[in-house]
Amino acid sequence: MVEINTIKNKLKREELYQKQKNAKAKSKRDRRTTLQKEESSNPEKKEKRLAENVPNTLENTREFDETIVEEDAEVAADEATDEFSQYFQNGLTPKILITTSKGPSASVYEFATELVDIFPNTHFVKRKPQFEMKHIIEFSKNRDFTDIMVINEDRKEPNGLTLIHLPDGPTAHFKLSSIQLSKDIEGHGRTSSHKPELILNNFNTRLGHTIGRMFTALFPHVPEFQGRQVATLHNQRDFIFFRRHRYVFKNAKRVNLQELGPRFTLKLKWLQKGTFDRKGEHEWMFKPEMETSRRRFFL
Amino acid sequence: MSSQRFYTGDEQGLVKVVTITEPVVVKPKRVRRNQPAPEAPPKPVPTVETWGIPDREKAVQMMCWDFEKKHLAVARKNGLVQLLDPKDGTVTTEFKHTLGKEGKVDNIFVGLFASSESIITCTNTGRLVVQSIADHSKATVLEVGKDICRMRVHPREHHIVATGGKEQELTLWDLKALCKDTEEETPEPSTKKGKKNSKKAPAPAPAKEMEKKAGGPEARYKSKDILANGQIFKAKNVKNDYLDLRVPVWNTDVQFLNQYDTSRIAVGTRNHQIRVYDIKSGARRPAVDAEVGEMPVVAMANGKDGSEIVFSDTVTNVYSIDTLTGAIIGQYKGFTGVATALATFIPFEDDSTAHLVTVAMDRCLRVHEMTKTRKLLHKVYLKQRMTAVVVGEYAPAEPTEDEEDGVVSNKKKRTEGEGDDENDDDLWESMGKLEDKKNKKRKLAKE
Repeated sequence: MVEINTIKNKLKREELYQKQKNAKAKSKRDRRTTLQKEESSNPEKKEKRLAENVPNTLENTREFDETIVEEDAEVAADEATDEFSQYFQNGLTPKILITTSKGPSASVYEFATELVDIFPNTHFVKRKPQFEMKHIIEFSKNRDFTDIMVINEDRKEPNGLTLIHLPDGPTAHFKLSSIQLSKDIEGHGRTSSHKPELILNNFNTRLGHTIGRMFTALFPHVPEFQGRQVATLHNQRDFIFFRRHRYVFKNAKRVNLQELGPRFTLKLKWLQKGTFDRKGEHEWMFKPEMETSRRRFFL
Repeated sequence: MSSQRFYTGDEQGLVKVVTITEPVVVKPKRVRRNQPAPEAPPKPVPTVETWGIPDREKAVQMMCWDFEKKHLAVARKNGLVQLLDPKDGTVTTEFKHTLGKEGKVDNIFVGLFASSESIITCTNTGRLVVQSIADHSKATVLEVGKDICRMRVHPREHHIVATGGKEQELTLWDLKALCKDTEEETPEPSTKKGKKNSKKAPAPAPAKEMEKKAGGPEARYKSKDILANGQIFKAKNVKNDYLDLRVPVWNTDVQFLNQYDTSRIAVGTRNHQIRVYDIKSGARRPAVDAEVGEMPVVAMANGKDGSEIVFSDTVTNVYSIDTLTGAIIGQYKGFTGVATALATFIPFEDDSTAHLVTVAMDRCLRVHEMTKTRKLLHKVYLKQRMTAVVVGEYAPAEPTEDEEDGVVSNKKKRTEGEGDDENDDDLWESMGKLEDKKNKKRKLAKE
């Protein structure tokens, strides 16, 4: 057997390489067909193989994080009295104010319209140049708003979302990316005014819990199941994917989904204690020096 | 295995005792070529003991050792000031101060100090209370201005207090003078002097007090800026900036740099400046004025013998700065949240490396070593947003051979670095106390 890379003649080399490649593919095909035959008669073998051959993914091999919450009485006590207790304990309905940074462009208004559609009980207010954030926060508190969302933009596209929980709740700033408005989604459905159900995936760590609760506090407590609408916030590798679907049960085993509404991705940049204050204390702040490993995630 | 204890306070009112043990340093044996290397002993896990039940109203705002390091003083959000037994956290003494509200903002404690006779506390409204420990009813209430951000008591001279705040320059008060004035005072409305709201004492007392105070600085003060009674030193604002505008004043933290006298004081401001004032020179303007970082200073701690200051700002940076020049020595990395409290300590009494322990809003306690590398040695997740840390006992390891003579066991460490004379004094002082402890006996090196 000659090493292919020692052959100087290109035609010959190519020929040999193709032969080798085909031989490899054939042996793989043969192995798989015999395996399939064996497993069709013996399903246990298949299960055994699947159980053994679990591939390593970044999520499986995630670096150990001691802040992952697991049935902790202290954390539960902390959460029972945190800034969201008005929503969780007292059942306060959320009232959201959506605004933008100063001098926004058209795409920001479009995105804002979508946001107003997603969260029930929302008001959009055009940003006037004479008011700073602290004034806006004060006015909202006076009018009993529970949350403020500020859409930031750069180069005519929305690129940031700041979520401020009132009256003195945390402020979270996210990087917004991959926005697809509903009109750009093929086969998208029409939304109705029913309150959606909420799915929050994978908010494991203590920081993740805080952010997860912040998102929960944006939606009304009791969904209207008749609307069959569901909003999902899925956290994977510190990116939070937002999707909205309408589901329909075809039969006992099968559910069909139709996508509604916008898709966007959020990534937490910083979390500040208290309402937005440029000189306020940051409970968590992303810094590139924190990215020590590909398997380390914070949410 | 040597172990170090830390006491932390958090916003749920829990006091946690964290014990970090250093593993025994095992000399690696020479391994033959084909044989497997021996396994390293497992790294010891820090233990955490929690005292208290979660209750936000009892959030710990300030925490410190009392002067003899027998009790832990804790100041809480609902106005409770407690002295805890460091062994098991039981409350030995408790006082209730009133912490009202100003509009919608709660008043907070900004200073706490405990000596054997009294506890001195200060709130952000400038209400300084000297509470006698023995006699619960005896409490002297003094006014040190409004919008105070930090009050610190000098570790040696317990009657000297430094305050600083929003539009409140660094001021040094003499409590003995202030107390005396309030005792002799007839009930009159307080008069405003400049920005201060100090009580003006009747005629005979000030003449006596003026004689007691240091003569030099006062003589140079302009007539409209006379020191109010009880004040020893009041700083002056720096010169106008390059646009000839007044530089705003907002001091967020104060630290005494010198353990013996009040000669040098460092101040951190909201406009990311670190200033060092030299009282002895008589100058009212800072000797060193450095702009570091871009965000307000949150907390400060003394480094080795007053030449170094470690401070944290609101964007998770922790800098170490030289107090003589104002230059940054380095930055401590690894923080994901604001470091709310810092403390420096030296595990051994002689010149071993200083360590920095910090507690942050990202719910972790970190120990860095204060060498050139500024390496993170330990990180302990503590589940709560922490607000205060106090350095506890250090128990050195059992020596394998008798290498460590002259080291005293179970000596409670000071939070700031010390000079050698101090060590000897304390060594002699504590010798008597060691007999009470039922810990390992050690030979004391008698000089």
